[in-house]
Amino acid sequence: MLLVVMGVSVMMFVLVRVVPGDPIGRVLGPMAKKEDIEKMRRQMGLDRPIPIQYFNYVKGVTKGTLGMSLVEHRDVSDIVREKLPATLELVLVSIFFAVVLAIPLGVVSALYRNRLLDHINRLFALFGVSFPQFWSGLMFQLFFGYFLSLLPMSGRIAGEPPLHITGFYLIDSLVTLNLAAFFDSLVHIISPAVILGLGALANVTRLIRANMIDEMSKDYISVSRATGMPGFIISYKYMLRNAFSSSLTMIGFLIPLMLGTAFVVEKVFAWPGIARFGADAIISNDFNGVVGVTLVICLAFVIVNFVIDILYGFLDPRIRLSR
Amino acid sequence: MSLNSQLEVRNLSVHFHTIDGTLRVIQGLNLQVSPKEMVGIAGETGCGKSVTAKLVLGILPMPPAQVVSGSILFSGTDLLTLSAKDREGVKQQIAYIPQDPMTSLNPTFTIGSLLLDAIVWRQSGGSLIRYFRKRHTGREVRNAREYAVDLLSRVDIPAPEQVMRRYPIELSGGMRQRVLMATALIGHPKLLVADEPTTALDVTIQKRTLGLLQEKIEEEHLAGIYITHDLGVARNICHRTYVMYAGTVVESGPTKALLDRPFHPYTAGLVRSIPKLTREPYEGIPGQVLDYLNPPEGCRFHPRCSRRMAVCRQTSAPEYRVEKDRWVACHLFSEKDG
Amino acid sequence: MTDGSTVLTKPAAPEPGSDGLSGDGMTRVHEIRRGLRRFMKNRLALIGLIFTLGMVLLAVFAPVISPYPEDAGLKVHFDKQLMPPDRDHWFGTDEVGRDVLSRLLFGARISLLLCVIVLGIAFAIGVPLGLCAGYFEGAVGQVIMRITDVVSSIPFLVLALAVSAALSPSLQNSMLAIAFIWWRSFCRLAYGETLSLKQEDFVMASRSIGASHRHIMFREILPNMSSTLLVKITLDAGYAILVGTAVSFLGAGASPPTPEWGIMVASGRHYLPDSWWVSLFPGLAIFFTVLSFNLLGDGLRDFFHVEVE
Repeated sequence: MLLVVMGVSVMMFVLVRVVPGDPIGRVLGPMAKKEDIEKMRRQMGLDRPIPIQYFNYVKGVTKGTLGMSLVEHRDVSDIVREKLPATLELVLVSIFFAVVLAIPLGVVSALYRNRLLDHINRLFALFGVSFPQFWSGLMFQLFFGYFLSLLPMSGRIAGEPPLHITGFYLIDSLVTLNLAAFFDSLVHIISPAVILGLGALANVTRLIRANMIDEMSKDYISVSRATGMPGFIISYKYMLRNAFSSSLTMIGFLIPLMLGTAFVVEKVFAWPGIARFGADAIISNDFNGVVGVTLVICLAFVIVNFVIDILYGFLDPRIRLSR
Repeated sequence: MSLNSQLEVRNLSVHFHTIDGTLRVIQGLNLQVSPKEMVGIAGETGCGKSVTAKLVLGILPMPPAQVVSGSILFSGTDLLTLSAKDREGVKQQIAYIPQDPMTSLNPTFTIGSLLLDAIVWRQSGGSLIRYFRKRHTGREVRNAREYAVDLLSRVDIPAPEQVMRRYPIELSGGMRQRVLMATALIGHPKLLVADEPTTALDVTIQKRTLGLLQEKIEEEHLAGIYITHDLGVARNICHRTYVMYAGTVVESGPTKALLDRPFHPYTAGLVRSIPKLTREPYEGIPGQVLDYLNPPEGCRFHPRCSRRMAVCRQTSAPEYRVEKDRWVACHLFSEKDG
Repeated sequence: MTDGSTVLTKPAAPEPGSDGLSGDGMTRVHEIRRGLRRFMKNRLALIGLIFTLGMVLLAVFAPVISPYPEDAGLKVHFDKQLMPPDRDHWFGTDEVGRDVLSRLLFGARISLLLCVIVLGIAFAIGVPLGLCAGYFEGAVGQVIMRITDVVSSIPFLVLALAVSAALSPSLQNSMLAIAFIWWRSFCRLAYGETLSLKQEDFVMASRSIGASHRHIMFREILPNMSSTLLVKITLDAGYAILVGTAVSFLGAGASPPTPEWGIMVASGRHYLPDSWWVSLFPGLAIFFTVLSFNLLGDGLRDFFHVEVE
């Protein structure tokens, strides 16, 4: 897996450097003198051959630096440290919202399958994945933020952020008993989380529905039924546990998918996260910014996979015992 | 039909609705089981024996399936007329031993967990609230656990307390089958339905399991239904046997007599087709399995019957009583009806 | 799939002369008829098909049916800026007075073209690669799949953005960029399918009579995954449009005055909330198109009983 991370970093590293056009020139502006551009190139090590650049970069990573960002003029690792929690918080809240809603929706859909409720659910799910998030984000913002004035239009918090412990406003404010900050950040995270989670909600609901339907035809379920166990226990205890653990891997894959969509959602809602920075970095050809952000996303993916693996073993004894 | 019966199926007809049409799966089925007797239902794959079992057990999915006529009397009450809730109550008195022990236990729960759920539920009188309360009360759970351990030891499972903590994947096929039998015995059921429970096991375990079954029938005064395609097993443990073909009973009677002197041409064909070491070429029954979408008019077996008559093409035969306790659904015996 | 509300159907009348015995199983015609019946019962899939075909027709005939075809290009009408929807301009006009509806229709051509290019290239690269990886396995397979893994661990949008920006943002480059990264999921799919199909008897039969590797791969295995691939192509078409328009929205794709749906939403953003129609309708167009593909793909998935990621 680490190999994959390395591979990705190499790929992005090379990609941003084989760009036609001159980003340094762009950054310094049209008035810049040729010598200044050259000086900057040398400063950034761009005059060296690419493998040496990569080597220096890796050396830098081990020392904790991810290079200088052209966009924000500070170390990318600082930027990551500052903005990553915002994105993580958003993604985690989105997934939580998606999964928590998807479970009852999926179960009910499966139990009443091919009846009206199921068809309605499936229709909504199909709708949910068809929205272009940048557009639905805008519409949501407009409707709830502007016309109804129910939710804030953008940003992460209106007032003072809570004391920095984890970087997650929701947790930090709760822990420091800063209720004002808690509700403030809560109200700000609703819109982007809903938009981000909508697609995931649709997918997970369909997944749970499919897995529950699979469970229905399993022998051990008919045996439980024949023993006289009530429908409630059969559906929500016996079937759901298996259906959910089968869905876990897919749910895990949703996280990197969401990181992609976060690029758009963060832009629309002016969310100060790493995805928004990443989008800007890509557009401005900010070498270190791009590589840094991709590296982080990759790492997140790897860690998520790892956690999913463990959770999987926890839920399904067959896996646990065969290890 | 005797007054002593635990289960009586009268004139049952069941249809299956599929995208290709309606399958007339069960046609005019009659059978009866009394306490302390083990009744066999024998027939080829696809003859409807599992459907009948599932219907009695209450686990046949009812869209696709539809009961067109008939009744299933259990302790005198017609199961088909019960409300959903009452039906669930009755399920607790009918025990099920499934065919494949490898897939019949929920793999993500421990044996103890599954047993406790079933035991505590039985004590909750149909109320979920009472169930949840009991399931989490120390004392109730302890009692239930003792009962579970007792059940497990009664089916000859060694070290029952340890087995309670195991997951199904950690047990062998034979052990799992015995766990299933223990589950079946919870709460003193009155009827036991065993669906070819030994097909998935090897021969030595088979013998043991069958012996255990017979024991329990005796001890607990159970009425038992044993579904099988293996006439040898039927001979072994079934007092009486019903032979099914294409969704209807063609012959019934005491097993040994039935197999030694079969009356119905189908039964005779079945018996003849059992490969024996002493006999030379063994014969099958010509023809193919029935098309349930377009079943033949008249007797369902007549297309394959070597002794068919004109009347067989027109009407199906009612059950003629040929001897004191032997019935045959075949026109050949219409005069012998006594 | 039996619909729970199916009423008792009249049992089929027995054919004259039949003795109730079936032949040796269903014939191919019977199977196709059965499948078609299932498809028809799935009304959503039918709707998806109709909508999709409708979109394609609209796109193809855009120059003919747009009320103001010249607005799709460089024409500007400063006297008609930001007019709300009315009888002359059903969807209103944008910030330089161009008819939104006409631009939408031409935008459909762009998006559908994107689908064709992206899916075409992705299919052409990914499927053979996956086939080979799955068929030959060993070192070749490992290398191919490792590379695929690397490319797969980055979300579509990110990679599309990066490649597009690297190539200097333009519509063509964004299309190429998306095409360049899309092959990975086709490769994955083909790989998985090949692995399981390889075990089937017909493959071993072919091998035993000495069929060449190429024959087995392309004449035997590939046709058997055609239904899976078809479902994937349909569903991916929708997703490709979502990614393509998002890339343009973020500024790494099409640029004005191209009537591409993504940048139409982006430029309309400045005029929200008053001139809501400028952003609303392009987004609706995207939604509608993607929905049609999804409905169709879903229906096809049911039809073929296929499990696609």
